[in-house]
Amino acid sequence: MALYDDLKTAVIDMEVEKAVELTQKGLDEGKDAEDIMNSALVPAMDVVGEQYDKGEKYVPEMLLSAHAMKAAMGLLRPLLVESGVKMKGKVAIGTVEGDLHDIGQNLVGMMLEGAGFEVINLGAETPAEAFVESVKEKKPDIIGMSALLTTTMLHMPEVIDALKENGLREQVKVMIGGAPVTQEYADEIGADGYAPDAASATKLADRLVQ
Amino acid sequence: MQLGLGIDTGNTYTDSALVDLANGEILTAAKTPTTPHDLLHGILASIDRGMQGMDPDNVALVAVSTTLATNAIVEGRGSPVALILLGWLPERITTLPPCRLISVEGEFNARGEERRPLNEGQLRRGLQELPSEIEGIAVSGYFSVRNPGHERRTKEIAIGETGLPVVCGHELTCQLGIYERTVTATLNARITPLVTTFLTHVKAAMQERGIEAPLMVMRSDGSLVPEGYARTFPLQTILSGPAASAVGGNRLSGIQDGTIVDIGGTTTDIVSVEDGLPRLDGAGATVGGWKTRVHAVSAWVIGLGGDSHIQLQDHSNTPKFALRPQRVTPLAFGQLGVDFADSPNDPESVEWVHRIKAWAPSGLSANAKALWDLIPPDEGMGLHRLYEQARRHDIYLVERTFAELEARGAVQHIGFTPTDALHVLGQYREGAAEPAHTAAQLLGKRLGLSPRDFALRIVKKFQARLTDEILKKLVADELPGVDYDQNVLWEYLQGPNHLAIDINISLLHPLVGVGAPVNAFLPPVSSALNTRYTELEYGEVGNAVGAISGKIISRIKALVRQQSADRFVVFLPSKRIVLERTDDKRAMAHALHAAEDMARQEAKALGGENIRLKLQKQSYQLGIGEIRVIAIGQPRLASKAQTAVEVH
Repeated sequence: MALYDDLKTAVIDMEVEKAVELTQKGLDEGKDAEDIMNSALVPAMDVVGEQYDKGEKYVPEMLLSAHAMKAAMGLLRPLLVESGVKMKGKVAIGTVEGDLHDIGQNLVGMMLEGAGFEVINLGAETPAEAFVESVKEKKPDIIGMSALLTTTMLHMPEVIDALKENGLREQVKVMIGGAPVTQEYADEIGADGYAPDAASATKLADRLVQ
Repeated sequence: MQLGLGIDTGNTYTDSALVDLANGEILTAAKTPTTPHDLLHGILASIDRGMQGMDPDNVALVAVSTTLATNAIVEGRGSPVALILLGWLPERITTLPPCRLISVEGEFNARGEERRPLNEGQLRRGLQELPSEIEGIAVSGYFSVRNPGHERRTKEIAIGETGLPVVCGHELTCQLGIYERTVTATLNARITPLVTTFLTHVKAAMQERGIEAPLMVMRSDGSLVPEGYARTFPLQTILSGPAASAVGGNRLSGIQDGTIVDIGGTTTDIVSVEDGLPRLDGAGATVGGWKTRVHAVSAWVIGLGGDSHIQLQDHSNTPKFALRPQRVTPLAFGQLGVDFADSPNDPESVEWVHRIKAWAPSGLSANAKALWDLIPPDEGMGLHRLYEQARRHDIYLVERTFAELEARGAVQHIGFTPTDALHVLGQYREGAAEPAHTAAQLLGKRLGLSPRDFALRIVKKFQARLTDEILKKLVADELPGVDYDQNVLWEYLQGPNHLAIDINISLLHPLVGVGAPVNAFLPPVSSALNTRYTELEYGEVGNAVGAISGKIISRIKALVRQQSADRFVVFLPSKRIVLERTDDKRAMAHALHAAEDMARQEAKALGGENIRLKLQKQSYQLGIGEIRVIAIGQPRLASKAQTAVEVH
């Protein structure tokens, strides 16, 4: 399918307008929204993730690819919802209290959307109680926390404590990431997983909703 | 001579054991029936049988374990109480035990900082509107285990306004989980009057027999607490029975690691001992479907005992018998009338019913009251005759109505039990043998079995169930939350024919039996599980021995949390310490010191002496530290300084 190959290349090459144009073209030709997502967009982000792993791409480029993907998804999402296609799962993400560095977590959000998750972006400086509220109201499968500083990282266990206090810890998986965070830290605070970067975050989310 | 008297009040029997505290020798052992309608009388009888004429002046310690609190909760009994919730409400009020709810603003965050101050005006208004029948108050606040400030203040105000006993969530547990803490505090308040009455009876009985020794109660974790503590925190004793089995099994067998099976009249409790101490349930005890945060022995309680009712289900072409979880009085111990077993074709003719004399027939449905009225007040009657008459009097749903009378404790139901099966097999000799034989003949005939084969079949079924439950319990200890009803592998492994798999299960540690009929039931079970069985002298009063063998234990957990570069917080039970301009090493040292101090103080306040401290855990990594300290002591005895200790 030449169209799918072109769309895939457009996303990998960070061409936002072209990605939107090709997606629209596919829909006009009568292609299925789910098929466009699974055959072109998701494989494109897989490639981007691999390129990032190998050091062939850097964060700004990955962001641009994700942006292209997100723009294309903008056309597909209403159709997906209409046809009742099941998303892989729901993830609520945010940077913890006192941490305004949200570039990384936004990237994770876009990658997750690209991989077929519904993402609730709680944004920067999300207090523990806001995580709890989102779990109560939106019932996500996973919450993702990010922190860029060793000082703000200390708020991660508070979010887990707040989930436990509210009896919600068993209902939701917790994944964490950010520069100072390690697997060791995830184990220590009782998180379900740690991802070092955006590409592995989607793999981790896949595993956690299995 | 310093003697210790242990008393275990079970559902069916009250056991007592007298121990020479100097050398641990067991001097007497006795079993008397539990008398729920006249507790004082039963306790007096138990003391008398246990003391066997020994000088009461020599008794230096009395320790009790009881299933009273558990039963009340399982049966949904309790006093009317108020619950004050601070800064939190459950999604549905019906998920809480019955209570009058007062909702008040005021909450802390995960760091123990105030998010919203306590609204004292709201609190006072709520308290002033309380109806007069309320007998106690429970207080539970959001993140109170990170900062107990609001709960404390609320307690102060509530006592001032009402004069009622008030208990707070943070006083009962230091674990997170506002829902479970709320359930814990509310149930505690609901059973306070009941347990207080029981302990008052025990004290009265001791006084009547001239025993002037400290009275202690076995807590759910297998340690002893003073009577005053048990009155304030009665919920902490909910699993005192199984805890006493664990301690008694360990004490009598000397086995440090093993599984203890306590077969009582009504239930069988399975508990484990690890390194000489009862294995505890990390999450907290679940009783009567309520998830509590009570630190308790991990007990597997099944509705199967020596007095379980064996009922012939005669409705189809192939009659079967069932072991019902309901307890009845064994035929060997029941008072039976002349027309007992006079209808060889009617399996209900081997059952007998008496009215409970002390029971006043109030609150029964009209149908049940009519059925109750049919029972002759003195001699009772055969169940088959009662059913016949009921049908003649147009009482509908007779069997269900009879079950209502049983559940309300209005009747004594006498029937065939595993105890009677042992009588038939000649393995048990107390009570009358004749009715058990007659019944086994009648029931066996319906199944085409001789009385002996019928009895054997029952014992085998009992053993198969025990084997299954012991395995489930041991697996559940390692894999909590396994749902056996939906576990395909489990079903398969239990099935008879495996084509390619040969399964051998061996328990790594021995089985120990506690309770009257254990030696008849357990040896084949331990063979099936390929492990050693230890038969105990005095195993039949293992719980009473366990109660008097309990130690004083205080377990303290301290959490250390880094909050910024040089600011740390130490969370201790009922205490929050903020440390500024410090580092991780100094914060941990401070926490260790505080935890050790608190453990030692608490063990002392709980009536302990010769206290040893043990550091169970000390870890610190990346801003998170945890310390666990355990203090173990011996109960202080009567001859030494006898000062009453109040614990809060």
